[in-house]
Amino acid sequence: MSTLVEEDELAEKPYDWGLLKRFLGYLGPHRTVVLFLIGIILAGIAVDLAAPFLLRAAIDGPVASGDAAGLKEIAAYFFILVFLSGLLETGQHYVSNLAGQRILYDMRIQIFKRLQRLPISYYDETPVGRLLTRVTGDVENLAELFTSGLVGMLGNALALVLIVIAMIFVDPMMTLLTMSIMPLVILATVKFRMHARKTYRAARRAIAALTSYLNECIGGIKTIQAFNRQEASAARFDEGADLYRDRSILAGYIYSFFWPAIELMTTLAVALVLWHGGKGILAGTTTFGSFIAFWYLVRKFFEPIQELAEKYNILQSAMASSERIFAILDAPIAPEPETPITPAKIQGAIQFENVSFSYDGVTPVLKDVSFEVKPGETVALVGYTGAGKTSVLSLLLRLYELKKGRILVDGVDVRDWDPRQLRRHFGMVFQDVFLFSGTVEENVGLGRGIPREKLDEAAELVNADRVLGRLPDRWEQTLHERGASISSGERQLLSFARALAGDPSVLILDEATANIDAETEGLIQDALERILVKRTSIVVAHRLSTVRKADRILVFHKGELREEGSHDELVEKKGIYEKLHRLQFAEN
Amino acid sequence: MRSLLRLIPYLKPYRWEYAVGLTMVIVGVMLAVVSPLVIKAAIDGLQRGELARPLAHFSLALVIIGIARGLLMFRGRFTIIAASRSIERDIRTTLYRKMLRLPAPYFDKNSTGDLESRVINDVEGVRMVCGISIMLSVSAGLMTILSIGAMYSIDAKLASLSIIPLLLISIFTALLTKRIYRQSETVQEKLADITTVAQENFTGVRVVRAFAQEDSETEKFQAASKKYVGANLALARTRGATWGMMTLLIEAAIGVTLLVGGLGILNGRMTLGDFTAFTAYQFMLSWPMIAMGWVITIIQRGAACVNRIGEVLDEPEEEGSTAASGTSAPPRGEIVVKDLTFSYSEDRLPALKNVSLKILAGERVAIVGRTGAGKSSLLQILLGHYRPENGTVHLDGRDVNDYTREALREEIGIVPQDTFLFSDSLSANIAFGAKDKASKEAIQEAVEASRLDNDLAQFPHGIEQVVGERGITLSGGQKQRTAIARALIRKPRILLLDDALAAVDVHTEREILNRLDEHLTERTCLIVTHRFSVVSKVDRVLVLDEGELVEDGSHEDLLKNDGLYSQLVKRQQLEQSLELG
Repeated sequence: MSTLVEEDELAEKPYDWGLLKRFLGYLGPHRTVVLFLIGIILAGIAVDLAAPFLLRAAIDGPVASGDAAGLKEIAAYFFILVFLSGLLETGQHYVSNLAGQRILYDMRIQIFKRLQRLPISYYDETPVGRLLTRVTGDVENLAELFTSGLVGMLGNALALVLIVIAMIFVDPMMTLLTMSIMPLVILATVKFRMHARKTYRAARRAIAALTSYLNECIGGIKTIQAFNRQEASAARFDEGADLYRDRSILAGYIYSFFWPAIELMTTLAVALVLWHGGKGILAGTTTFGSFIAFWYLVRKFFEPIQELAEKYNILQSAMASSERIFAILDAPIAPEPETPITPAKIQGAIQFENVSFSYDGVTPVLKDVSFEVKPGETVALVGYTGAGKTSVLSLLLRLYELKKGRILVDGVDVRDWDPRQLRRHFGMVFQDVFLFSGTVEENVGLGRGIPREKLDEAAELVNADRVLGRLPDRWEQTLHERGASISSGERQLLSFARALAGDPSVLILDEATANIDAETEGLIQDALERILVKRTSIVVAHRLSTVRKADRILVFHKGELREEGSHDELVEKKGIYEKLHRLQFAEN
Repeated sequence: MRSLLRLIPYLKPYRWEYAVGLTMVIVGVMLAVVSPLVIKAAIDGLQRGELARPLAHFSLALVIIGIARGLLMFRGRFTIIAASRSIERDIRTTLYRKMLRLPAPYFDKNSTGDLESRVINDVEGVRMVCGISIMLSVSAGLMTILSIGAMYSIDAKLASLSIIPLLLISIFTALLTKRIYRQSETVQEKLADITTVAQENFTGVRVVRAFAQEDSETEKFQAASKKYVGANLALARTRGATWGMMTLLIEAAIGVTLLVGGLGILNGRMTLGDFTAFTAYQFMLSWPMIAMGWVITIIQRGAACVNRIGEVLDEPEEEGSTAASGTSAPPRGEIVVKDLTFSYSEDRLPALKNVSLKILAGERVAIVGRTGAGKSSLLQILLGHYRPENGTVHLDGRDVNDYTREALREEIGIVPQDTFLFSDSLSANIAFGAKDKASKEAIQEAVEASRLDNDLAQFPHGIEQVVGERGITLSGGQKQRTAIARALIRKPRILLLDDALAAVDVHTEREILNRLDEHLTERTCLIVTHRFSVVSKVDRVLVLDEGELVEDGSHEDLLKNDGLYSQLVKRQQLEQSLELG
């Protein structure tokens, strides 16, 4: 049973001005909205602070002198302020979201675009879940950074300053008195922040450890049951749950402490105001209006302080997210030629010259492979598992960078082609057919703007029209979750149509090994018969029938091109092909 | 909401904590309501120009009330929060214990992520109900009642007038909470759409590149992101309106006080102290209105969480997992299968069809066949993970369904196909298999038998080396050998090896099998394998094909038969010659 391992890999980072500055760079294009937002915030604070002054005016003026009309006038002003403050509050909330969402939209698109240009090897190394977190969770965190963090903290800081100015306006002496408890407030806040962070992190660590323990045990639950170790596992889980309980209680202790503490400070300030202000009233140096206005301001003063402490934590977790996002934006993209070649049509002559390749730089996958495919020729690649056949296709598509040697298309090194223009001339059928959620038309057309007639033509050519016939909405039929609603054979047919719809000069086919029902198998065979003629085709073949259709067979073994020739020649030779033939094709 | 009643048994043990905590919160709220009255008394005195007591006494009273209140609120709050954390722990451990007793098919149907989320997130949702929501509803409710009462005692007319805006707040909150909830759902949906587009793009990256789809994919992503922005802004509008409306109403109440209260002072109905106390109560009233909104959300979410937890707790447990139903005498090792047909679920084709076989106690048998032939299914049934029809599978002449799961598994050692190691030390992973506490010697013995001993030198901490999550720091062969050691230390009557030597080289495989001879004398041993190098070490070979037992006999006999077995053997010889070539 696993131990409860605590890892200190938490979504938190100390302040990093470099990161913050870079993030602020994203505000640039939206400066109008951002400035407008700051204007609203300032106006909101000003309106907020006008209220106590009106109160003072009312109490010292009309109320003191018994002027009912004057009181009504001031009350009217007050209601205007009330209305404005409601409006500004709404405005601030909306505009801060507007600005935040626009900034994050830019960022999200930028990350996505970047990911479209990162080399495939990046995807091999990074789990999809982690990439997803970058465009969702991490960007969300930054939204939080902007709306609550930056805007909120700016608002709080401005409010604090303006409140103090207003206080001085009302009564400098009482302001000084109120400020005298500031050291206490700062002390409480700093202490709180320190402890809160420490205890909170400790609690997060405990729950993270418990979660990963749980994850492991649910995954291995049959093993636990098979060995009758349920009790031991439960006991270990209890330990972890206890630890989390104890640590979160401690964190709760600190949290429960902070709010009453700040409340107490507020009360202390109010008591001081009462004492000093009251003396002033008795002595005739302070008016009731000032007294009440000040009392009002003191209450306001503590609100931003409470909020600032909360926002600090948000800022910290956002720091970690922004760092991860910038790491993607800074990752090196797949190399592209400076002056790419982009002809409208290619002949389809393909040459591999002494190609060597390895995914990890250690284990060789292809070793010094050379061969040639003439325009219009159909070549089958055959080999045992791990022979390097699929890698040949990936390299031809330039999904990976070569280690050694050259690959030429129409006599031009693939590295000199614009990779995306080059790929447009290839029609690719993958071994695992990947379907996007969307309609059949979207999946076959793939946003290439291919007209419906062309799609119909392609579908008919590869027998995919039979698949369409079975679907109630034909082209408009929606497919879900990796195309679960259609069989694997049907998916093959659709992927044939997908490859041929673009009328490619070269067809690249990685034949599927999956079991396919006899009827669909027949349709596939029939389709292959038609699509392998006329154009250059390179096929990784698993079926004897496919091999027989090829003009030439290349036999790969352990990364090397070992044999070459027609089916009959190779069988005659009694080499690797002959064995493969018995192993792979004999049953079919 | 009714589902929340299920929580009562979990709350009960903490009734004293709740009683004490809530009492403290209640007294704290009462004190909070008292302090504006102190200010009122002071101001009234100041206005009259004669104070009943020195001014400092009023300030002091405020501070004392403040301290008392702070302490009470803090202790009360903390007591309840702590209780809720304990309840969270209790529910969580109960839930996990329950999961450990659920049968294998349950885990086939439900994803790990979903189950994990119930134990972690849903239990947390319940904790919020038991903690913060109970505390908030009591303190906010009481504060509302008391402040309104105090306001009425000062001036009924002004109280009635200024409560109107506050009432409007709760109505607004109630109305808008629904709308906000709906809009948040939409935001979540749109985020899920973004995630889908991104996920498919990342998973299908090869297709995207091969068909030069980067631009159209970016457009798709942009469209989804725009919709998400739109949904967010719609939510921001509602939220903004809510906040704005709330601010407006809270301050409008103060405006009403300014006007009506001011006029009251003018005609002598009210004092300046009354006026000040009034505004203080209005301040106090604003937050309970907001708090009630939170409480409603927490409770709604909590009810859903309780349901999801309840679903797990209501699941039927592994049959025979309690001693009540069957024999607890452990089996010796004779296995008889009669006409066994089995499928994992009704909508799936049977994994085993009419299988009948007999394995004597102490016999060593290899089970071979192509992928999906039903080899593992047979072992899983013997282990009691899946329940066969009554009367089809017998151990020592007794139906397996009559054994308690515990007794059944006590004498079976399994080395599963997917080795499952825990992130713990090697020795702990091996000791995991022992019936009781494993001694150092026993572990050592098991390590030697599984030929793991030679590898230990590689690890800085030897046998105490902690393996990474699921054993990722080990090679495939090391993992399998650890799993074999785990099964051997159990000294089971029946040993099941489910393709357990696939990642071990042929030479080591032979060594392990030789050691098994010493360790497993007179113990039944079933070896599922794809390798025919094993067969020289077994008494008999069973050949399964598409769920049926097609051949049964010694290696030599089966070779002569020229059936599936000899085909498979020839295939493998070919493969081996290719491997070498």
